[in-house]
Amino acid sequence: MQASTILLILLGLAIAGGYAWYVSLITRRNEVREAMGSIDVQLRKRFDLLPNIVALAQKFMTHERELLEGLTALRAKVAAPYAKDDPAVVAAHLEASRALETGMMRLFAVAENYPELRSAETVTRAQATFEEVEGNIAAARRFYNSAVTRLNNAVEIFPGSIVARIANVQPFPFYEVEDAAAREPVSVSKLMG
Amino acid sequence: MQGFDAFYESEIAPFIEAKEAERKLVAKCAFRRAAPIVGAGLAGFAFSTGIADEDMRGFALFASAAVIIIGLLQFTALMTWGRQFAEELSAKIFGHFGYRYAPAAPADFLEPFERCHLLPGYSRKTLEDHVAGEAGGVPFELAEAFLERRVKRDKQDDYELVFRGLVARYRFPKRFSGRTILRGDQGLLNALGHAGVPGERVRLEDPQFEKLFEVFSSDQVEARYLLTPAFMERLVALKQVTGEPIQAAFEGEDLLLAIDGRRGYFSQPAVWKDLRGSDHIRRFVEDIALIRGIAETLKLDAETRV
Repeated sequence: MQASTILLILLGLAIAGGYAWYVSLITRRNEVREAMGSIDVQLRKRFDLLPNIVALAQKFMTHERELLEGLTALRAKVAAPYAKDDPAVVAAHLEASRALETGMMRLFAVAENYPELRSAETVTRAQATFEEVEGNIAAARRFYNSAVTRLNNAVEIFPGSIVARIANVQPFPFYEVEDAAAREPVSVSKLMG
Repeated sequence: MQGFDAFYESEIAPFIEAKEAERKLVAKCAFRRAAPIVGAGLAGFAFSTGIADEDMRGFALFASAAVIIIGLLQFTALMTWGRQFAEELSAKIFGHFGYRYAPAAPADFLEPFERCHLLPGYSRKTLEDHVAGEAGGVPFELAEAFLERRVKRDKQDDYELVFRGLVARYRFPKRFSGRTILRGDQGLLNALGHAGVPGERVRLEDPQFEKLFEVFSSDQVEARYLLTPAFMERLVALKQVTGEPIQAAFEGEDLLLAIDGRRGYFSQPAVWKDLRGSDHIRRFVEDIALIRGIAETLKLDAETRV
């Protein structure tokens, strides 16, 4: 067999291998997008209750104006469309979601000092929804992190790193719960006393 | 299994004692009827071998064998009595635990298990010992399945055992929107062994669980909602406790379990022996403990059941 034929075969194999890796990368990135969508769906279930709670809370929690305004702004940020392909934008979106979750938990904690607010139907319903979707959020987060692990491994391990650079596929951020307390399932009833 | 010893002493032991006397009578009666016929057959057999004419000898041997078979058929009365005894005893023991018992399961009992690919392909089935009730507050229904597949051996049809074990359904308080299937890990053969299983492969974080099971689901998020780290640990524990191959699925409102123990469950004493040996009762109660153990190990009675 001539050297040129062997070279052609090797080149063909390299192209086929590179394409297969490219397909795998795009598939994994789409998995991450899908998982990100699942997280958004679950978080939206929580955050959609926020406007009603804030409207009600403003009547009672006059000293917590800053917290309420902050939550409203965060919700608007989380609800805004974002580029799911851009890891930096996704990281910012996840950060905002995390901040909103923490803020909502703080709101419930502070609401404990306002018995009229605590017993209001809107807040009771929010409490039930919070507990109901907790398991789903944890599951969606695990799905997302699993998809990110698979993508990041493919992107960062040679020769995937070369193919990823050519295809402009970047590693994605994990969606982690930061502090130990937040790792616990949210028990609003506990927060609400 | 608290209180069973007292129940055994007050209810089961006297029942078995009475039935043992009955068994002796039935066996004696069957033996009395069978003995002369079988004896005649054996004598005819011995006599036949001495016949010189080949055709006559063949006919005589055939006739003697037929007589022996007729003699042995007299024992069917004892077998029928044994089946009835087994049913009565099972109903009593299961009844003590608050379970309903029927000797046979509904014909469509295996349908959800087949839909979820928890059972191997088979040509004929036998479903016995249908038990229903609540274990630790969790409604359940189970049966013992014996599945065989038709195969060709030496150009002849034969049947080989492909599943012998328990098929159980435990009810969850909520309905699942998707279908999640847990199959036994088959190592390098996974790609071939799980061909046709519906749903996408779900990769989970627990390495010990991943070694034992391959998970497929139509809903990645729901699969993880159900298979929390704690529930995965419980499934691993269940597999270690039973030591038997387990496959499972979440479908509709049910957790389906198929345990291919390759043994008979809820075994009954042989009618040829004294019924008073308590070993089979011990094994019977151990199998009932397994039903409860599944609910307890998996903590199916927890509020969320996950």
